[in-house]
Amino acid sequence: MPRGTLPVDRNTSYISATPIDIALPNETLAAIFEQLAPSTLANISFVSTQFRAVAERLLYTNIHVADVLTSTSPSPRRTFQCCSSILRRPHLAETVKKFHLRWQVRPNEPFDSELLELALPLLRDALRTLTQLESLELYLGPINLRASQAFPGPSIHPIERVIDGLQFPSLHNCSLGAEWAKGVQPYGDILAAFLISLPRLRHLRLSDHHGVLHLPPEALPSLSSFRGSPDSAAYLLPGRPVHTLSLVGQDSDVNRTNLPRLTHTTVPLRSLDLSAMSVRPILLQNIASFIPTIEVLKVRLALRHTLHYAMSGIRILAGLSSVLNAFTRLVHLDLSPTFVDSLSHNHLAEEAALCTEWSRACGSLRQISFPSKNDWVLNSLGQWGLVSETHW
Amino acid sequence: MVLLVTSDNEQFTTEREIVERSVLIKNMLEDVGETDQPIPLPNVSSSVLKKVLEYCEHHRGEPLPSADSDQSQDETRKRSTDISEWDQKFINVDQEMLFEIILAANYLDIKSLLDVGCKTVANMIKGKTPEEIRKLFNIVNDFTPEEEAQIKKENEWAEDR
Repeated sequence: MPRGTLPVDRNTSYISATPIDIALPNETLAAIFEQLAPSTLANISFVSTQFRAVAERLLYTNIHVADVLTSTSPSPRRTFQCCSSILRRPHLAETVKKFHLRWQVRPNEPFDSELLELALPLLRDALRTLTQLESLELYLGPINLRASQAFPGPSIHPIERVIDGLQFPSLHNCSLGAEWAKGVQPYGDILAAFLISLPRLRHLRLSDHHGVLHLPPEALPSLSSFRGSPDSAAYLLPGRPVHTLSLVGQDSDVNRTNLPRLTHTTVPLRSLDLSAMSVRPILLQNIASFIPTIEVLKVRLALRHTLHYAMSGIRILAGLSSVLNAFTRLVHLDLSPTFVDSLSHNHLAEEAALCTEWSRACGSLRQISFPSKNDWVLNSLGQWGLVSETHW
Repeated sequence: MVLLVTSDNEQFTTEREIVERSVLIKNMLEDVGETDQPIPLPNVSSSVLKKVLEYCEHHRGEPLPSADSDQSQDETRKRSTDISEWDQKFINVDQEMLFEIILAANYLDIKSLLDVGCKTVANMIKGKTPEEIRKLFNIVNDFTPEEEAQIKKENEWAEDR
């Protein structure tokens, strides 16, 4: 909380006992309602006709639907409700700018894939009406883990069953996926056809796409960031202005076939996020030699696999010097996603020593975030200083 | 100095730096240049203007939000319903005055004051039932019970579990 502010006491009442007779105009009501959570907006929508008009416009501008599927509540109830409401109220469709949907199932909890399958056509029908959509995120949870016997016919990835034929001329953010396991139904050609139809897309995430993705060179002309598997990235990045990349999967998925292709972007790749995979130093070395333009590197190091467990002090990070030596433009090294099970009592002194050592190896470094979550910055006098310390 | 005249014909003389926190008055003064002519504020009563000027005086000299920073400021605004200590005390008025201040801030185009007012009302709404909200705003339920049930059902997807 910023200095000089007090937490607002929710119970504080500024209300006079006598009713007042001042009607606030819609624009003022909108400014008030903007501060409120979707659940409160839903509550406000049945106060009065005026309140409903203002609250629903805000509620349906940014839609976030999350269904947690359990054995007692196996149906994606909110998805059904929201999609039915959109279809019943066509005038709201054009206010929708964001549609984010997430299905989740708790680990080891059974789920009913037929109930999930039933929601797909409704979801597609509702999405079809959202012509002004700017941000679409669909995460269909476990639906792809079990092939459904109830819907015979050609096998199509559930995401593709939803996006088939949809067009969003204003979409600039898109994230698609479902849980993945070996042998699940892969994506086909529908995904590529869908992406080709998105002229303004800037940010793309494909969490469970691992195969071929053929797009014509003129497709996705404004793509600037991608998150997904190294193989998908190797198809998407060449010829496009991508400067921010996040990779998912195993570090062994990054290989000599796909890594060189990641460099064929039309602007230098500046930011690489490897926090979703356990990274061994050899991969960093390969990245440094293939993509020396990296300025921001976020890494989850596989310390426990490559180094002896008993040596869990951060001094073991000193070995990174030879790897960092290869980066020529690295400004921020972020190791905060790296797991450490304990810190030594003098880890601050060790971090300070590492800053100096790594700085010597890589002259462009200006900021280092350690697994302890401590942030160190190089000041104008050439000294490293701790800017934020995390207390364990 | 600037002379302001309220809806109930009271005159207020105040420094230009203070009153220019109102974008409406700032633009007016820029348009007419130096003038001794009083500026009429037909939408603001003297009791409300007194409060508004108190706010402007406390915040004098602070940078005004610029038009191009609107979006990032909106983002910050949405994330936080915290109000600074002085502003909280300032806005701790009866509800009629609170609404009057909001309307005046909207009319006079004083964005930071409008923000404080809107956040305060938003905090009052949180956790209340629709019936309590109707009482708060003194509005009549113009829905039939069937309509109310239908709306509740349609927006149920957004409700907390």
